[in-house]
Formats: sequence, C-alpha cells, structure tokens
Amino acid sequence: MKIYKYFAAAAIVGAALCTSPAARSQSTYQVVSVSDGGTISGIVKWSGEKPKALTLPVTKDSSTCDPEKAGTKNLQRLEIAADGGVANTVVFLRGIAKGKAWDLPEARRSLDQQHCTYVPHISLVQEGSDMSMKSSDPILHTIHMAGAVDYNLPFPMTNVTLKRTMRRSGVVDLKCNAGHIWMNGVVFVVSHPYYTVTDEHGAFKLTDVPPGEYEVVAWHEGWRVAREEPVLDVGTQTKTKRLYFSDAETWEKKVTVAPNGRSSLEFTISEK
Amino acid sequence: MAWGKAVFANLRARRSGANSCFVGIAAACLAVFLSYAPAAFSQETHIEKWTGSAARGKDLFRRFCIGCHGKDGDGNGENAPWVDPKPRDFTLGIFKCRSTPTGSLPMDADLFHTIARGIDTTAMPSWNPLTNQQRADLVAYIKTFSPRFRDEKPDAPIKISAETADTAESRKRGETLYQATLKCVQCHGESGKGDGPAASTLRDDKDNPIVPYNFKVLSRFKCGDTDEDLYRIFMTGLDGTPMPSFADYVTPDQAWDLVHYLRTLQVSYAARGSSRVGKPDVKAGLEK
Repeated sequence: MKIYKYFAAAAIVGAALCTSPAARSQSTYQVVSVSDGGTISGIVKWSGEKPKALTLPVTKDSSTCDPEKAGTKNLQRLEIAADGGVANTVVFLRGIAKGKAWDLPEARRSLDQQHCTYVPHISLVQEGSDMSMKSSDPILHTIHMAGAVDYNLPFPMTNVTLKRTMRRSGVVDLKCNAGHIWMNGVVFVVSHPYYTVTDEHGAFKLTDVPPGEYEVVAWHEGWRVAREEPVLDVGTQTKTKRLYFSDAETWEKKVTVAPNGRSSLEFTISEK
Repeated sequence: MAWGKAVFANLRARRSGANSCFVGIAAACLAVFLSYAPAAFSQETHIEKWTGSAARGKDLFRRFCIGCHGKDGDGNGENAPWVDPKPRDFTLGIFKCRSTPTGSLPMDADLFHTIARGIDTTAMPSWNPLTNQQRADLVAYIKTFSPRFRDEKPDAPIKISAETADTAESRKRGETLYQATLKCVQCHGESGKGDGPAASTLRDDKDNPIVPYNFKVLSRFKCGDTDEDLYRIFMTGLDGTPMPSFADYVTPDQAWDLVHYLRTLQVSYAARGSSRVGKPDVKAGLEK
C-alpha cells in the first residue's frame, strides 16, 4: 500500500506539473453583471518642489514638430499641474478576476502622431484587441514598440490608419526612429478593464467595481534622468544629448469597496 | 491531462485490487509523460525533412555558439564586448530575418536559413560547415531560450509574388517610392549611402547605435542577397532594429519596383550586369 501511495503522489505531482499554467499571457478576466458596484476615485499629487520640465532641442523637421518655434519639445515624462496634480499616472486594480464589461475609452486605444508627439502619451489597450495608429504629420514617423509586443511600423504619409493586435499584456514603450528622439509614449496592454489614466489635474476614477477589498496601484513612468549621452546630429551638425531615464515606479494602497459605495484615495509622488 | 485524472480516478476505484500497485506505476508514468509532453513539443522542430532536437542542439550550441550568444542565450557570451553589432539575445524571441510580419515570431526555417547564411556586416558567420541536421538541432535549442516560442505561434509568412519586369519605368516608380512616398531616404540617404537625416539617431532594441544599410558599398544584405530576400526585408522589417515593415503601404508590383530601384543603388551589384548572371544562390551548399 505504501508503494501505491508513493506512486499515487507521483501521479498527482505529474498531473499538477502538466496542468500548471506556465505563465501564459492569455487573459482569464471574466465579464459579469455588476449591479451594486462602487466607485474608487481620487487624485495623484506631487509633493515638494516641482522639477524643471524635461525638454530636448528640436533637431529635425522643426516646421512640423515645432510650429510655435519654441526650440524645444517637452518629453511629457512628468506633467504636474499648477494645483499639484500629476497627469499620465496609470491607476489600476491589482489582479481583479471578474467584473464590468470592457469600457476602455476609444481615445486611449487610438494613437496619433501630432507635431512629433504621441497623442495620447499613455494608451490603454485590451489584451488581444487591436490598437489603431496614424500620423497627422506630413513627415516620416515610425512607431517602434519594445516590451510586451514589438511591432515596428512606419508612417510615411498622413492619415493612414494601421491596426495591430496587441497580443500580450504588459507595458510597451514607443519610440520614433525618424530622428525625433524626444518622442516617447507608453502603451499598457491590459488583461482587465479596471485601468485608468489620471487627467491633467491628477484625478482618476474607477467605476462599477464589485464590492470587496482591493489593492489599488498607481504607476508612473520614470522621470529622473539616470544618465545623459552627448550625440552629434550629423544631418544638422547640432550637438544634442540622449537622455536615459529611471525605471517606472508604483505606489499601492488598500481599499474596501462597499455595495454602491464611494471610496476615495490620494497618492503622493515626490522626488524622493 | 484529462487522461491523467481519469487514470487516477480509475486507480482510486481499484485501490483494494491486487494490481493497484501496478496501476499506480502506470498512472505515475503516464502523468510524468504528460507533464513533459508540452515541453517535448516545443523542443523539437521540423524543417523540410529534418527533425531538430533541442538536446542535440544544446551540445552544438555549447561548442559553436556560446562564445558570443552566452550560455543563457542572452547575447552575453565572453566575446560579446568585442562584437558590434551585439550578438542576438535569444531570450527576447525577436529576430531580424523572418518571413513573417513585424511583431511575429520567425518560422523555424527562417532561423535555419540564418544559421546557414550568417549575417553579413556582423560577426555572425555562415554555419554552412554544419550539416542540415545539426542546424535543425540548433534551431530547436535556440527556441528554448524564449517562452514566446511556447506561448505563441508565428503569423503566416508574407507572400512574395512573381517578379515583374525590371524596366526603366519600374526603376523610376521605385525611385519615387524610395525618395518621396515611403521616405526610405530619411535613413538610407538620397544615394543609398545610409546617410539620411535620421541616420545618426538610430539605436537598436538594446539601445546600441546602429547604422542604416549602405547600398553603395555592400552587395549582400543581413537577411540574404536575392531579389526575394530584398523584397522580404522591407515587407517584414528587421525586428530589433529601426528598420520597420512597409507591408501596409506597398502593393506587390510596387515592392518589385522598389527592388528594381534599390538594385541600381548597389554599385557592386549593378556591375554584375542586368542579366543577373552569377546571382548568388542562397540554397547552394545546403544539401549535405
């Protein structure tokens, strides 16, 4: 009998190994009807002295990229409003398995390239669904993705919309290889719809949250310059620099959502 | 896995039976076999008539590839600091030379041909001295470094239509595509020297500086040297590099126009004459 038990255990372990999900990226989120869902709203605020806006000189295509002749482009890495609100922070619920139907705003799933800037700076796309991309600029842009998905698409003409399936969840960094080294953006490919991005005042709102306890996460891309590299732009013979940034950071808070309840949260981001 | 459970249920039902021990062994063997089955699936490749084995590939990798690509396949081998461009990091599952669209895994045959051909202008030599069987084994092993090969399937390869006539008009249309419509000129430059206005800013996925292809000096491409290879390169893009995929913008006829024009930029290629005599055969030497 003892031997039998040993082999039965081996069988169970074997079967368990066989069924282990092995980190597949397929979404398991289940849409259910949420009748008594609550709302989690709040604000992401900056604390302390405001850092100087990060900018890079416009070294190429300035009539399109810089029609106002500012000479520099804001990298949009850290956008702090006069009231201290921090825009472009992604706020989401960690690991929610079921809840409301997908309702990510259309504007976050469609990327435009306007005046050599990605609009929006942060995109939210459902895992396995299409993201659409176009350029409003009459010059060459490329959307070179790195991270969870890795498409590399050129935009040599205006208003041609390309669509690609964002097949794996995770963070995707965007860059342009057509000489616009200041262009940067982030796409979140997400496995549930409880994701939102703070507005220009740092405000966010997650709706139709099934009652329960949650971990709310605020994510902000890295904004500190980790190092700089001098670059000579051969075309214009301009000396410029390439900036490398610190890693993205997250902040977490626990919250309990009551049936039809309203919870409110405040996240504070600072230089430290 | 349903099988494993069924056998286990069967085993429980017969726990008082005299042969329960035997059934237990069978169940254990079956379960262990099933647990390895998915792994075994991804560790074998089928390329033409060769079946590659990751176990055999590992020995070959440790003999021939480890110096640059490193024991973990991450491109950090002991030679890597002296190699530019850097050796491929196989853990990313991103490859330049594919027959599949941008963002997709390559076909097994794409990796197989890359090993045979080598990558021109880089430290990656042609591994034609190895046999087809050995290259197939290496492909099977290289695929174990990235979970992408376990979780995803490659997209269908892009189709290459029959080549259109290489005429002055075709080359002219290709020139317009290169210089104006597709703006290839931004990186590759007006004369194809790789000195376009965006050239100096280019970085690969590992943030290492990378230069655009210089048509004036070079006769081969990183991903082959036939007209079909050239067609494929700008349709699929070279993932991991700044070269994007133009598949959304050009029709098959336009793609051939572009090929015909690009060939005129290649001084060393044009010198061989328009008859294309002596065009290198990428499959030469593959039969071993």
